[in-house]
Amino acid sequence: MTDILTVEHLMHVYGVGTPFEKVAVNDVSFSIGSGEFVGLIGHTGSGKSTLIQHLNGLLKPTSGRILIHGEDIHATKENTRAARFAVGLVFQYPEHQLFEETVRADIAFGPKNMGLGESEIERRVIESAEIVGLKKSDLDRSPFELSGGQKRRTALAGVLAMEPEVLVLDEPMAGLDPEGRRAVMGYVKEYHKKHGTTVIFVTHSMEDAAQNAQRLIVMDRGRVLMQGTPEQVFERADELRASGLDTPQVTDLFSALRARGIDVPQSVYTVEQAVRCLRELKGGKTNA
Amino acid sequence: MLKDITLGQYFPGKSAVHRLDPRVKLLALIVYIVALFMAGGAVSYAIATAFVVAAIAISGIKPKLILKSLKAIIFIVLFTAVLNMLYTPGDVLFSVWIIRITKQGIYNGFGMGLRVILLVTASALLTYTTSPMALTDGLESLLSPLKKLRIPVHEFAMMMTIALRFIPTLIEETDKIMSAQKARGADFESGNIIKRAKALIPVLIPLFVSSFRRADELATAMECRLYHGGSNRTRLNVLRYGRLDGIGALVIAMVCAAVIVVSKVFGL
Ligand SMILES: Nc1ncnc2c1ncn2[C@@H]1O[C@H](COP(=O)(O)OP(=O)(O)OP(=O)(O)O)[C@@H](O)[C@H]1O
Ligand SMILES: [Mg+2]
Repeated sequence: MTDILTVEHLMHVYGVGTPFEKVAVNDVSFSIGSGEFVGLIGHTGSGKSTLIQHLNGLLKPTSGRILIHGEDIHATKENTRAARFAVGLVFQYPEHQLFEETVRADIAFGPKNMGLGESEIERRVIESAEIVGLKKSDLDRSPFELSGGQKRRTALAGVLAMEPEVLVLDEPMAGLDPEGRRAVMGYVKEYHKKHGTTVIFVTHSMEDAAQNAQRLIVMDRGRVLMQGTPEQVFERADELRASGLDTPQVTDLFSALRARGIDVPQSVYTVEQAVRCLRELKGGKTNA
Repeated sequence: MLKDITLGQYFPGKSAVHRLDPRVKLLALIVYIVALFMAGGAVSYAIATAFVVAAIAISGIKPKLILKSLKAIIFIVLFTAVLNMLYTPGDVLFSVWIIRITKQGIYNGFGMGLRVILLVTASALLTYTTSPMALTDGLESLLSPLKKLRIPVHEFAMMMTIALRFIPTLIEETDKIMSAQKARGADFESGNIIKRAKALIPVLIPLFVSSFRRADELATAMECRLYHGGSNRTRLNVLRYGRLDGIGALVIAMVCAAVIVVSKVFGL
């Protein structure tokens, strides 16, 4: 696996020279491999949103570098522009950015800015609308008369239609019901599978992080606290809690079981694992 | 970018300037502006300048911030100064074509430029050191005699509070939406004026939509808390004049009087 995106000693300070000076990201370094599905977690204000806005060059580092395919995105103006399209960023509450008269036109905004031809734009609009489960008849409605969930999907489709190499999502499931959460994650995963896109998603839900990410990066007060597979991360449950984060509920349950002297493994973080574990335990007992 | 707009922003602090009653500061600003326009000679300008510099020093506001807010009006200052320079009759120093520069013109130009700079600096200092709430409370209190004339002073002050309160919110929102549209490849920085104006549509429409939503939510929230306008409302923080305000008012009055006397009586 080759690295598609590298962050080197990134630091970002807001409001330099005012009384509101604030170090939001502090000496952060990591690499993302091509095709990886990475979860970014961290307490409120830990600098996640600030960090990801650097990945497509929206924010300029106070110091440090961002490399895409080994090239500094701020080296030339062309590189920065290329980074905009290579890294598709879906903001928190993306439905607030809708503005066009029809859903179709809104989804087409990004591809149009890329300078694509009419037929290519049309293909991408239809395809990405389909992935996020928008009906054909919805395409000609005004985005403002859609439901909240449909608006969210439209906004998501607007970025998917740009077919970025790296898709970055800032809390894509915030404010949706469980059904909506599953659906949105489903679209992203399907898109990931179909296009081999690298995905980085920010989330506050440890369950979502545990279930979906191949790798997790944990931020704490502007720094990277830990990174690794969900197993490696949730094993260090105490550190996570100290940094103001939760662990998945099953992990908590298994910690409680261990505390009562029941011999279960530490790094259980999805319901499926838990079920398997308990089956084994039960199976072992009945056999004995 | 947009975040660099500091005019009208409030920088909390504990200095004497911060603690001064907002009514004193508002009146002081008015009196100071009057004095500024009555100043005429070098000495009176010097006193007026020294006063603002001293006030900034006491407030603890970084001079860099003040300079930043002046950057925005540099064009107006130059324009005023040059116009005055060109259109003041008097002893001609030199003339080129139809342009005649007079001694009085140069003097007037500098004077007007300085006045505008001091005026903006003093106003900026007021908003930098006074919270929007205190500012509107002060304004409402100062204007309260107008209530007798059935002028809705409270509603006016409330509107101003809300407007002031939402300026930073709107700036933040604009910033966010611009970022989101930039992420979709929108380009706000190149092209001619028409192209740039068109590029703002994807920002303005979401901004309007969210402003209306916010207004609606705020109105509902206020009604839920039984807000019903100004009559019989009491306040949590009642404005009261203290010792500091007496001293402050006295100092400001003396300085302004000095400026006026020096320029009008002694002609300096
Ligand atoms: N535009 C800004 N100007 C000044 N400070 C900011 C700005 N945006 C964020 N900050 C500050 O930087 C820090 C990091 O904010 P950021 O939005 O990156 O956190 P986050 O991890 O995304 O939090 P959340 O989970 O709540 O979205 C916070 O302390 C915040 O107050
Ligand atoms: Mg955030």
